[in-house]
Formats: sequence, C-alpha cells, structure tokens
Amino acid sequence: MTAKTLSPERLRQFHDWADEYPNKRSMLMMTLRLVEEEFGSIDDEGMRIAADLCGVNVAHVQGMVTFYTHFKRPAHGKHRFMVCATLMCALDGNTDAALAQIRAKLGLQPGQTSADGLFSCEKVECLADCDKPPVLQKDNEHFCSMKGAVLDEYIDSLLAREGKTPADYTGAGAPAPVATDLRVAVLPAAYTFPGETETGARRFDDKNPHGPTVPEPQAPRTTAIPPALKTPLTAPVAGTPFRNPGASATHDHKGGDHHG
Amino acid sequence: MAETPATPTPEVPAPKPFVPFEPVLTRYIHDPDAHTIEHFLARGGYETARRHVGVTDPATLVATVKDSGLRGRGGAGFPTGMKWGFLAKGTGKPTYLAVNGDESEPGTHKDRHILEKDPHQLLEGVILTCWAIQSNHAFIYLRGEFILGYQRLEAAVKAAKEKGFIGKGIFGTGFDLKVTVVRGAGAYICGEETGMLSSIEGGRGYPKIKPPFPAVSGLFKCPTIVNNVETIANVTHIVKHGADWHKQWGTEKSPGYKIFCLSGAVKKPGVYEVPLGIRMIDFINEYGGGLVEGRTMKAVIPGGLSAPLLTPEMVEKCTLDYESLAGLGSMLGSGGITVLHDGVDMMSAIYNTMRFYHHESCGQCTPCREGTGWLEKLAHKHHAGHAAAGDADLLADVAKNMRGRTICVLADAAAMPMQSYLQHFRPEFDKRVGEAPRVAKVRTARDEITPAAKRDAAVHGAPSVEKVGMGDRT
Amino acid sequence: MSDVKQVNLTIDGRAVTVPADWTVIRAAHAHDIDVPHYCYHPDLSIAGNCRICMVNVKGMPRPVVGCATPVAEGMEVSTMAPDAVEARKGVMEFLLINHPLDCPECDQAGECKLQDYSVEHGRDHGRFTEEKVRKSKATMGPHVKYWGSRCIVCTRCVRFTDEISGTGELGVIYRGDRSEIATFPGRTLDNPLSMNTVDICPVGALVSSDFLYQSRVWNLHSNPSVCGDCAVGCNTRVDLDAKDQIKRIVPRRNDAVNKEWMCDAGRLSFGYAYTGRLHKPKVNGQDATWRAARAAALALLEGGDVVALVSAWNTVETMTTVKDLLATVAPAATVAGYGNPVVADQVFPGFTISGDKNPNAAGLRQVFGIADATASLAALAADTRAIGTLLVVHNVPGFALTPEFRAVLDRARNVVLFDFASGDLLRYGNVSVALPTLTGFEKAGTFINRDGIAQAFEPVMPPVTQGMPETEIMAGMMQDARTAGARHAGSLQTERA
Repeated sequence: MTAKTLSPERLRQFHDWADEYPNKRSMLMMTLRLVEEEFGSIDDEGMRIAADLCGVNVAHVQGMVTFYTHFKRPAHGKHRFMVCATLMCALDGNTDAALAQIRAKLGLQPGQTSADGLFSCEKVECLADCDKPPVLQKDNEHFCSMKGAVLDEYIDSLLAREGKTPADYTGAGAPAPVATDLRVAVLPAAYTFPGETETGARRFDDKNPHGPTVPEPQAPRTTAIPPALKTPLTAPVAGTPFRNPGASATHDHKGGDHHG
Repeated sequence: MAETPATPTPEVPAPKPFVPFEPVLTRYIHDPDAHTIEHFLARGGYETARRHVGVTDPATLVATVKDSGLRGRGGAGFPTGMKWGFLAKGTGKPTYLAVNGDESEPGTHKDRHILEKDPHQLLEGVILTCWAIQSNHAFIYLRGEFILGYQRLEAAVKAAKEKGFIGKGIFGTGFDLKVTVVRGAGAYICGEETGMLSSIEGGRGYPKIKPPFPAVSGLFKCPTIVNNVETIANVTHIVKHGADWHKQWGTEKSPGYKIFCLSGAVKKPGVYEVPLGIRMIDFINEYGGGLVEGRTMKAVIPGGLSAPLLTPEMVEKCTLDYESLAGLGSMLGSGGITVLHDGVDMMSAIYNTMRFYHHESCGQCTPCREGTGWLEKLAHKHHAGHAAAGDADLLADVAKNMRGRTICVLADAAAMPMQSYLQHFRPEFDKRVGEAPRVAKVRTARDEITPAAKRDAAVHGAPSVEKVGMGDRT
Repeated sequence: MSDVKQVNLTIDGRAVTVPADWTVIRAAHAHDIDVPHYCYHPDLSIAGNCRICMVNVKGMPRPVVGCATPVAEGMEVSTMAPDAVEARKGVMEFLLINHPLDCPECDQAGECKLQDYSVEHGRDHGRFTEEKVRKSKATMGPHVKYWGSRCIVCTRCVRFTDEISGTGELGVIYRGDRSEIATFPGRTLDNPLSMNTVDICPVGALVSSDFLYQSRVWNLHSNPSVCGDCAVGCNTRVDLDAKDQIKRIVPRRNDAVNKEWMCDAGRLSFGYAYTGRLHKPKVNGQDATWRAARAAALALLEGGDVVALVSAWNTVETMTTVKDLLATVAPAATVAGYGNPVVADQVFPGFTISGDKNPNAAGLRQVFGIADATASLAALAADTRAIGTLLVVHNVPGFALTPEFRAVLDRARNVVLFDFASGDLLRYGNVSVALPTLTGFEKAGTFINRDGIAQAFEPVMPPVTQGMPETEIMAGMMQDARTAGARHAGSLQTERA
C-alpha cells in the first residue's frame, strides 16, 4: 500500500506559502486545509502528513483537528450539512424547520451520517448571517434563508447528483444512519503490554523490567525488623546523614506530596 | 435617513448637530463588482495609501487615528489609536498586525460583507495601519466558515500584489509588506485576540495569559496589534478625510459610525451602517421597520450574544454608543442587535445561549471549562421544565464564580447573559421548577479491568483499539 | 548568588527578597508559604490554567494567579485575603463537579491534591447534582494508564513530554469540558521517562500500571535512598508496605542531581532484591557458617597471587574496606575494576540518563585510581599471568558474564565472591567461597555520581537474607587476621551459625 502524499500542486502551494510564515508550525492551519482538500477529509494519515510537513508532533496535530470543528473528518458524509443552531437562527423554529426537512429527505438527525456515507447532518454554532435565518452550510457552500422549497430543491439536486432518491434514506427498509463518530482511537484501559500483570507489583528477573516475570520468591525472610527502620511519611530531619548538596528542604517529600 | 433630534433628558443627552450620513464602509457592497481591484481603483482606491506610505511620518498617522477617537469595532471598544501607541518599540523583534476576521459572536454579521464584497477596502486599511505601526507583516485571520470571503480576499491580495501595493517595496518605496491570510476552522474562541494569535501560531486556540499584552508580546512573542476588520477598514477613511471628519458623527466618547447587524423579530433584519449615538428605538423602528406584525418587544440583545439584554424600558433610554450601553449595564459590543418578541421562551433562549458557550469553551482554565457545562445543564433543566427549587440561585452563584477568574473573558461572556436573564426574567425561571427525571446509573472505572472483563475478552476476542469518550454532541 | 536584580516584597506580611524574574508563587514556595497549585511545576513552563493559585495583590482589582504574576518591588501579596479565599473555593468547586467519586478505588487517594486542597480550600458540601462528564480510560503506554474522568487538564503531562522528554507523545484532544489527554493512534507513551508523568499528575488520572492497586499510600512508609542503576544517582524515595516489601520507588527532588525526575528503568528495578538471592555463606558449594566461610576466604587471600576484581556497583565504603583488607592480608594484590558496559547517554531536553550503568565508577577512580572500569577489566583479561585467588566484590544485579570476565574467572584457581545474588556468577565452576552481601536497599553507603557528587544513603528495609554488608564481613575478616589498624572494626556482627 503506497503511503498517501499531497499532490505536486498542493506541495508547491505549501512551499510557496512557506515564504509567508515565520516558522513551519504556524502553517498548520493552512496545511490541514490542503490535506482536507486533497483527500476530502482529514484522517490519521492526513494528520501525519501535516505533522511531517510542519515539523510538529503528530499528537499536537490530532489536538488541532479535534479542537477545530470545521475540519472535515472521515466520519462526515461526502455532503456535510452544517445547520446553525445558535439563538438567532433557533428563534421561531427556523433551525428546527431546516433540520426537519433534512430529516424528511435524508433520514438524518443532527449528529448522524447516512449508512452509505454520502450525507451527514450536524448542528453548528453561529455562521454569521443572522439576519436571514435559517443559515446552513454544505461543505464550502453557504446558504441563508434556507428553508421551504429552496432547501427541498437543493437536497433534491444533491440526491440527483448522487443518483439517489429520498426513499433510499427514508423508505421502509432503508439502512439506518450511523452516529457521526468524531472520536479518537485510544488503547483501552484493559490493554496490557507484554510482561505486565493485571495486579501485583511485578517481580523482575534482574534488570530487565520488560522481560518475563519471575514467580513469587519462595525464600524465607527475616522477621526481626529493627524498629528504627520504620519511618513515617515525613521529611528527613535536618542533620541526618544525608550529605546531598543542593537538596531543597521545601521539595523533599512532606506528607506524601512529592509532586513538587 | 433623517434623524429626529430627541428632547434632551438626563438619560438621553442632546445629539450632535445633524450631519447627513452616507454609508462609508458599506457604500459599495451592493455593486456586484465592488470586490474587484478595478472597481476599487476607479473610486480612488489605494490613493490614500500611495500618498502616505513612505511619505508621512508614521507617528502622524497614529496621532490622526487617536485624535479621531476611533474605538475597536470587534466588541471591546478600546480606543484604536491608544492601542497603537502601546506597541512596544525598540525590542529588535518584528512587529505584526493581526486582523481579526473571525466574526463568531452570534448576532454579528458585518465583517462578512466587507470581506466578501469590498476586500480591497480592508487591504488599504491594512497597508496604512502597517505603515503607521511600522509592521512589515500583517496576518488576516478569517473564520473557516467564510469560504467566499476567503476566496475574495485571497484574490484581492493577489491583485494588490500584482500592482505593487503589497509585497517588496510597496508603492515604489523601500517599505516591504507581507499580507498572509490564515483560515480558522470553527472555534469561537479564536475570535478572542490571543486565542486568534495561538491559532495563527499553529496551535489550539488557547488564549494567552495577559499581561503581557499583545502590544508587548503577542504573535510569536513579538509586539502585535490586533484589530477587527471593521476597525481597520475605517483607517483609510479617517486618514483620507481627517480626524475631525470622523468626529462629525457620534458622541463625544463614541465618535463616528458603525455597522450594526439587526436580527430577530423585526420586519427588515439586515446590516445597517449608521452614525453612533442615534436612539436604539429609532434604529429598530426606522431601519428595522419595527417589530413584525402581531408582536411586541420582550427584550433586545444589544451587542452580540454576550451582551446583557435590555428590557423595553431600557431600550427606550438607549442610544447606540458605548457609554449609553455601559450605563445600562450592557455593552455595544460588536453591534449585533437581536430583537426578541413576546412569544420567545426566555428559558429556551438562555439554554441556547449557555449551550453555545459550553460548546465553544476552549477548556483551558477551570472556571470556564467546568462552569459553562454546569450553566448549560442547569439552564437545560429550566428549559425542559424540571428545575429544582434552588437552581436559579445556584445559577446566579455559579455565574458569579466564573467571572474575573479566568484567562480570557469567555467565562464572563457566558456569565453576563445568565446574570441579566436572572435579573430581568426571574419569574420565568421560577415557573420552571418541577420534578426532576431520574439520572441514569453511571458505570464506574472498575468495570473495564476486572478479571471478568478480561475473561470476556478472552472469550470474545482480544480488545481491539477502542473508541471511547467525547460524549454526545448533537 | 546570581546577578539578577533583587526585589523586596511582602507575602502574608513577611518581607522577602527574591530575584526580579521570579513569580509570586515561586517566591512564596521558597519561603515555605503554601500557595496551592495544580498546573504549576517549577521545572515546566507556566500554563496558568488551573486557577487555584489565586492570591490577592494589593492594588489589583481581582485576585491574580501567583504562577503568572512576576514579583515587583513593594508588592504586597496576601494568600489569605477574603477574595483570594473565595476565588480558590470557587475553583475547587468547579474542579470537583465533573470529577468522579473514585476515591475508594483511586491510587492517588492519600496523596491527592484534590483531596488535600478540598479540605484546605474548598467547600464542605457539593452542589452539583447533574450528570457528570465521562471521558475515556486508556492505556497510555507500557507503564502508564489514564483515567480521563479524573483528569483536570492541567497539561503537566503534555508539557512534560514536550519540554523534558521532548518526545511529544501526549496532546490534548477535543475541547472544553470534553478535553482529554491522548496519544496518536499507533503511538504510546513509551519514552524512558514516561513514569514521571505519573508523579507530576496531581490527581489520579495518570497512574503507574506497576503500582496499580498495590497499596494504599497511608499503609506505606517511606525511606529515602539513591538509585543505583546508573551514574546519575537519582535521589529516590522508596515506599514499603507493612511487611517491608518495596511497593514503588519515586524520585526525590535534588536540584543538583536529578531535579525531580527519574527514569522508568530505575523505578522498576527493585525485583532483584527479592529474587535469586544468596542466603547463606557457601564454601565449595555447601552452606557454611560465617566463621567457617570467613576463615576459608581469609586463608585463600593470604595464600598469595591475589587479584581483586571490584565492581563499580560497590559503595565507597566497601571499596575502601577492600583496599584496607588487601593491605592487611594481601599487600601484593592487584586491583582491577569492572562494571556494566557503558553505552551512550540518553539525552533528553530536560534530563540525561547516563550510559554508565554503574552507580560508582567514580568511586573506583577515587579509591583505586581506576579511571575506566571496562578498560581495567580488558587489561586484566589480556594479561595471562595466573591468578591464585580472585577476590570478586560483585553486587551487580543482572550482570552478563562476558567472555572477558569468564577468561579472568578461568585463570583463577580459587574465587572468593562477595555478592547478594545466586546467579550465573555463583554457579560458575570455581567459586570456592561465596559470602552473601546486601543490595543497596539494605545497607548504608555512598555513591559518587557522574558529576562527582558523593551521595550517602541509608538502608530502606531490613535485610531479606542472612547477608551482611561487605564492610562488616571484611571487618570481621581483618579482625580474624588479628592485625592492627583495621579502620572499620566497628560493630562486630554476632556469630551466626
């Protein structure tokens, strides 16, 4: 499988832009847009491409993509409806009207993507056109006063473009839409790495913490515990034989707080 | 539109002598070609820049803008010339101009029109501002949802570059100017000046701790001036016509004119550029055509969603200037005026407002991150009709605890509307006290790593990479 | 001692003088005035996002965060002014509203700053009765697990991986109160310093999978020690349970040595104290009494052609005693050193793990003038002279018998071994006398680290075996030899049969 990469034109655009910015990291917002254009959405591979181009850690790029809600993700439909749900559009049921029409034709509640991945619907916040509610965007197209026949005709035109009809989404037997899953994949908490045990401090064979564990020791231990060795959780008393130059009194542990 | 001089009362000071006002910033936005450089040049575009760049002492331009009394049009209303004067000098670091085109404050939709329909007007302002503050690099940050605005602005920058108005040695002088357009991607917090700077720097839109202020340490830790699109668009006209010209309109403390965005239950919602100082009720009735048929005014949100609302009695006393609104406990803000009619359910309105701030909180600091969620949950109970008896008082206390304790003012922007709704519409809160539904049992942390869970995994297959978290967002 | 300008200010009425580039919180902490903090850490950049370190500064309209406020001449700071107290109370409440009631099963209980500050600075009752935000639980890496719901997004861990380890595995994802910490799919938090994030996490969001559910911290007692795994000599605190079992090792602050950091390998290698130990003295493979073993060893050492092989894992005191012992019973003996192979340092932006995996190579230099332990062993191996008695003072956990080492062993007619382990070395054919010693956890001593800093440590636990510190065994041998001038004739161990 060949690794994905930006097209030569977009790479050229990236390098042209590089003259405009004091450092590569500040190009991240625009680089992510290049990735979004190139592949239609930003997935993990796209994040890696952006991270490599801009010289930042890929965890940081993932933080960016999940922070900014306008970036298109693979879970969004090919046609992504974003309907403003903020107060000025929500007044007098304008948002609800637009959402109801989308639901009637595409079977989508906000936060859902159609089963075939062609359409998705979501509520977004104010789109800065508040005098003409309801306002919605579909990908890079902006619409205001979008309800009634205008919206119906527009959805019909998109359906026609994809060779579909409303019955494909709302008819009996139409596949149910799925929740638009914008979450990040993480290892589950139950995941254990080799050598890790579920409970119990590991017993190590010599100095190899990652190596195979050793069973509980069978050797007997002395039970005579000199009382002086049990110290409470307090700082060492000044004058005890700790000749450590530079040890700070405030940050030696006190009361269990070794966090500094 | 003729202005009716009002009878002076203690609340409504005598307006300045009437001076006819023609829109300045929005004059050409209805011309289909107004965004082209040809149209702009034909109306004398870039002449002011040519006259001053490389010629006039930058300090003179700063003084002119200061003298004009222009105040920031993004919401804070800080005197622009004074802000420019705060720019740290002699640091050896480059200075930047960052133009805030994020326009995410609900109710505000004015910068969109400048960007889409008259971007060269903005660019000339950028050029003059950069000459005045001696900056060689301007960043214009547009919210990601402005697609047409971005296309038009990029085309305008390209056209201006071709003519030598931007780039190396502009207007044949030795002054270089780079203009970089950066696109945002759906975060209201990137309208906050330092949130925007964090975003331009290539990070999550986390606001920065102030002090140090951007004028001392901003973009890339260099001295930066942050101004709104409308503010910068004004600069050319002020430099061209002079500070006194600008002060013909408006009031002593709020000179000039502003683009207001009228929305809600009026007959003619829209974008109107009017002189500051006119009465709000006149604005609503004459420009907005008054309330729609069969409706009366319940409240007005005067300055974008963060502004505390005005009751009809307060609207009668209000003039469209910074000091009048501040005196009424609200703010002129970005100029987004929304009229709420008598049929509006205030509990739904405040729930919608709180949901907005909860969704947009960046999550950096504790009071805002947790408080906006709490406010939304309590507001939702009132909206759904099952609030508990003390919840309204709790809302007031939570809102109070959020104010003044955060890195930026989003927490205040969320708390202020809540406080104003409680102040003016408390009976509606009290009406929504009802029986609460049962809260679903929450699974604990233990559930996923017990031996039983592992046995299940052994039976049903090893745990695959799992997607958890995020919560529900509809 | 720095030439930065000093400023005078008062904190809670106390006049203090600090450098002008300090923040209020640092000035307060330096004078033992507690200002609560989560996101602030002296070795990380300032985030200023937890908002708990609010203090009142005279003249400012509101409380300010102490971590981001630079000190100024004449500043009057009050940590207990009513507005600061109220601000902290409000912030504590916000921190707890979405926090799960995990205390009964959370490792952090007992050393949790949410618990501590809640008592000191918070309300006495909760007012939040809504549904809490739930976040993911995830395995971050081989040693670290993450409980998202407990996380207060202070970003200490993220700043650590950016600034100290420089590996950048962690980032904040999502926005607002759904913010969580995550790695990128396919990457894990697996850098050698990963467990420091567990230390600095002020709540139980990041936990050590090694220590998970092992013990309640109030059932542990702690003893200070020094890590012996490499030449850095990180200062440690060893936490033991009621049976004196080591449950975990965490770093202790020492600005001159390790700041507040420690590598994962050092934390996790204490198992050798419990497994594969040599319990009793052995003579010719058979258990023997101490008296018999010491006598046998002495006889061999007095027999001539003695070569001493001293590892760089021994304390300075042990090395000095070896020197004295040889001077007493085998003055013609030669001494060579050895140790774990020295590899390249692992350099991170904020920490360096030494590639010298021995704690006291500098001790060899100081006591015996051996500059390079590896070269010393190589020279000895290259030498072909026969060895009558090879005195090996070992005490190196997990030492791999290299061909060089075996060559030296093979040349020796007899081997007298001082070691705490019964491993490959003990099983090597010609160990005539094996004397059980103690690990660094069970004895006192001094290591000299790579920067020449001598660090003394005391035992943290009672001996696991019947072994004794080398110094005492050798002192006994010198006493047996009835020679004068034994320096460490101190406490003679009672005979053990």
